[in-house]
Amino acid sequence: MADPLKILGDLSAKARREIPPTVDVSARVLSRLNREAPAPSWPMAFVASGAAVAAIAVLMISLPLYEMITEPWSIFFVMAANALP
Amino acid sequence: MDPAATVSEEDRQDIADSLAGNGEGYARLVRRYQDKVAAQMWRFTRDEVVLDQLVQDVFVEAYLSLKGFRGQAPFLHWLRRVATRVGYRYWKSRDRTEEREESLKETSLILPAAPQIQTPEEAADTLYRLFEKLPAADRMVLTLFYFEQCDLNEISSRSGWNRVLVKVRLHRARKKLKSLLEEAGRGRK
Repeated sequence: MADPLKILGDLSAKARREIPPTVDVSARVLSRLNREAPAPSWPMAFVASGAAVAAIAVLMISLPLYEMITEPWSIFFVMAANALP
Repeated sequence: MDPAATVSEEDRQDIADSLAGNGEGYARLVRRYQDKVAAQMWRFTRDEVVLDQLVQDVFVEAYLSLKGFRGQAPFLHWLRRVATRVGYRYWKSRDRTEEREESLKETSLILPAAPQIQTPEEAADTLYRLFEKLPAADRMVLTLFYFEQCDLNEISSRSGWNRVLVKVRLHRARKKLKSLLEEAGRGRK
C-alpha cells in the first residue's frame, strides 16, 4: 500500500498546477470602502481641551456653592472650639 | 539590497496616493494584485461566490491597515499575510456555524481515487476535501505547506505563529491526516 504522505505529496504537486478563477473586485472594493469608511474621529487635543473647560466650569459653579453651604456650619465649629475649657 | 525584496516604485506611489485618499491609487493596487490574491484565497474555498467575497475582504482589510505597512518588503508579501488572516478567520467562523463531519467513510472514498486523478482541478478538490476534515489551525499549516509550498519561516510569517509552534502544528497535522487516511483503510500502518 502506498504511503499516504507520498500520495499527499503527489496530489499537491498536481494541485499546484490548477489555474484558479480570476476575479475583478476593484469597483466593489472601492464602493465597500466608501460605505465602510469610519467616521472621522474627534482629534484628541480637541476632546482634551473640551474636557478641561468643562472641569473648570464645574469647579467654578460648585466651589462657591460648597462654601455657601459649609460656611454657616464653620461658625458652630469655632464656637464649639471656644467653648472648650 | 535585493530589488525583489523592496517595494516597487509603482506600488510605493499607489500606496502614497491611497493613503492621501485617492481611490484610483488603491484601485490600481487592487487590479494589480487581485488575481494573485484570488489564487491564494482559492485554497480557502472552492466556491467562486465566496472567493469573490474573500478577495474583497482582503483588500478592504488591507486598506484599513495600510498605514501599518512599513515598506520593508514587497507589498505582495504583506498582502499575502493579510489574505492568510482573512482566510483563516473565514474557516474559523465557518467551523463555528457548520458541523464538519469527520466521516471516515467519505475519506475512504476520496483516497482510492487519488492515484487515478488526472487533472489539477480534481487534485486540488481532493486535497481541499481531505484537509477539510481537520481543525482550522491544522488545515492552515497543511494548506500553506502543501498547496503554497511555504517553508516554516514563511508559514510563521504568514500566520503570525512563531516558528516552533508552526513546526509542532505541522508535525501534528500531518500525523493526524496520516492516521485518518490509514484508518480509512488506505496507506500502511
